[in-house]
Amino acid sequence: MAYAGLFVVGTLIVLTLGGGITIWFLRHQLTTMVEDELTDLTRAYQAHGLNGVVAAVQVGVQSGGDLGYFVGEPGRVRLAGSVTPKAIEPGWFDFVRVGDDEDEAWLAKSLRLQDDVWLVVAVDPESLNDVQELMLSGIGWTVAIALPLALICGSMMTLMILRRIDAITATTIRIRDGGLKSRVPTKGNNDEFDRLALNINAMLDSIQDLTRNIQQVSTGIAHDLRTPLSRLRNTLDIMGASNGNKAATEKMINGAIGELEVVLETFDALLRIGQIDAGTRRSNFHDVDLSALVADLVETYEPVASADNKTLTANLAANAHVYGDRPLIVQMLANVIENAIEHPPAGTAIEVALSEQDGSPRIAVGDDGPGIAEAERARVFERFYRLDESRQSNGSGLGFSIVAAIAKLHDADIALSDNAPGLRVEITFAAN
Amino acid sequence: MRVLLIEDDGDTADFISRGLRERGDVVDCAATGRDGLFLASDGHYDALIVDRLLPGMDGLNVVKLLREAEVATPVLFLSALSGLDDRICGLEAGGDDYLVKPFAMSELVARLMALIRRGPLVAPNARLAVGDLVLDRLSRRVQRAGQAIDLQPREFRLLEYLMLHAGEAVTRTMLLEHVWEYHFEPKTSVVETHMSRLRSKVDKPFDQALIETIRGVGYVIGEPS
Repeated sequence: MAYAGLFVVGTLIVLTLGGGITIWFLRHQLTTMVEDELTDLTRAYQAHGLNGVVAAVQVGVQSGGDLGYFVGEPGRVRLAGSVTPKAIEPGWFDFVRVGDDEDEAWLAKSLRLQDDVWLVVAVDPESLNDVQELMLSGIGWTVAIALPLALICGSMMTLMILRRIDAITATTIRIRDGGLKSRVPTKGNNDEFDRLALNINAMLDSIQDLTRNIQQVSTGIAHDLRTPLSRLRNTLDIMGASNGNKAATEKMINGAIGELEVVLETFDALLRIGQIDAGTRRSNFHDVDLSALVADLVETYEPVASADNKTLTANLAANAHVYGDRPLIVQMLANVIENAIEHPPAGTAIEVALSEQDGSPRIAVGDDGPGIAEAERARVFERFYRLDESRQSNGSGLGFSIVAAIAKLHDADIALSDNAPGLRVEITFAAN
Repeated sequence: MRVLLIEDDGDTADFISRGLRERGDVVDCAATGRDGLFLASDGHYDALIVDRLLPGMDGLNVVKLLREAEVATPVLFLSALSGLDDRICGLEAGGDDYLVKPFAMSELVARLMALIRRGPLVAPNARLAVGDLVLDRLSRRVQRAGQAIDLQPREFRLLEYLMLHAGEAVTRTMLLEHVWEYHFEPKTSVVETHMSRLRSKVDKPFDQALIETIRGVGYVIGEPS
């Protein structure tokens, strides 16, 4: 509403100013005409006295034009001229001719020549009056039309905006009351409100993800941390009650320390994932030579695979680079390779391939072991997921969550597929 | 060895002092950053162990100020802050090594000795020798008892690190950090496997084993006593 009012006031100001300037200009033209004529007549008087000025006035009258003249004693005698003012004021004054109305007054300027003899030149401001009338009617129409128009448009816009804002507000209230699933409705026309709605929805997606992760973590922690801690507690219990056989005590102490190491590892992994998720490491990104990095990893893990009766071979493209965090990429790939070494049985062949397609580097680690059933593949990335439900295998269940977190930080895509036979893990980075 | 320990937690300070004194080191303790700074700036210590989180002035600042005052005593940071960035901050502030709590006493001792042994101004040796084993860092050639030994690049770096710390124990974690630059715990036996390969080339064909495993600590290379 305020905007409508502002619009009308603005228009009025513009019209008034414009009109005012025009009128001033026109008026100035008229007065200049009168002044110039007065100057000429004065010169005639100075050169040839009264006779001179009388003659000049007669010339002026005869030539027609818009000016009125008078020279003589006002109210008594007219020596020459076309008008007869009853009363004269020195300088500029309004002069109403006989038979005219007050508002048809002429602009007149007087000059005293000698004794009681005055000279007056006047002009009819008819054009000026016309313009003034036009202006006033213009302003009137503007107000009559523009004001209601502005008010209508203003209220329509306000209504539309308020409706969109109300939709957003309603959604946030639903969410606040516990429904993280709600999303703000969008119109699909990509205007400012739509973009705002899309951004809010993206934010809600993030929050929903984080909440889900927290729920998964609580469940996993219940097992992965409580189990070693409770074994530790049992050991210390036994040690407290035992009679101090040194060898047995030492063995129990080492066992206890071992359990603590597992707990600490799990905490570290959780922290690391938290840090990666928070995205703070993106500012450390630098250019990483992927070819050298993968070659290095293969050199490190080939003996390890070999010691476990498996083979590890490489098929690496040269000069593949990616923009990212080197230590994290190393950890991510080491994790995937270690999984391929640990899980399949002896005799498995593992291949690490690095290729580049359209500037997009891809790393694939494939084995020819038993693989993972398609239904299970999606669950692999959940925090604390383990292939065997009884959780007997080594390490924390967080391995693949770290891989997923690091991949996400680098905007890389992870895909698990059937290596026909076996498991194939592919990590594809975005094109450089 | 004279060691200054700047640590505000009484239990941790006791634990470390006791462990070091049992080895015969002299340990002084300071419980605040300012006291530590004051004692350390005299420069009479062989090494400083500095906790990062101290009341008042934190450990990072203490070391930064010491380095600005041109005190070159080696510094081992201790901290419960285990993030990669935290390690880098510690090293950038002028620390020489970084150990995360909780730690094993053997790990602390191994790293401390490595720091002290390195010393401030040691000219780098191009040729390292232990017994009849010789490693040339420039030509990347290794030989023992006159016979050339062919090593993979990683095996070479592993042997080089051991020989740079000849006579001192190096832990698995130190090897992972310096030879592999891995700042995570691998699930597989990376260090053991490569150490085993190295030994099969450097020790097995010869009479005496130079590389020894110290249970609960790590590895050491040296002439057998």
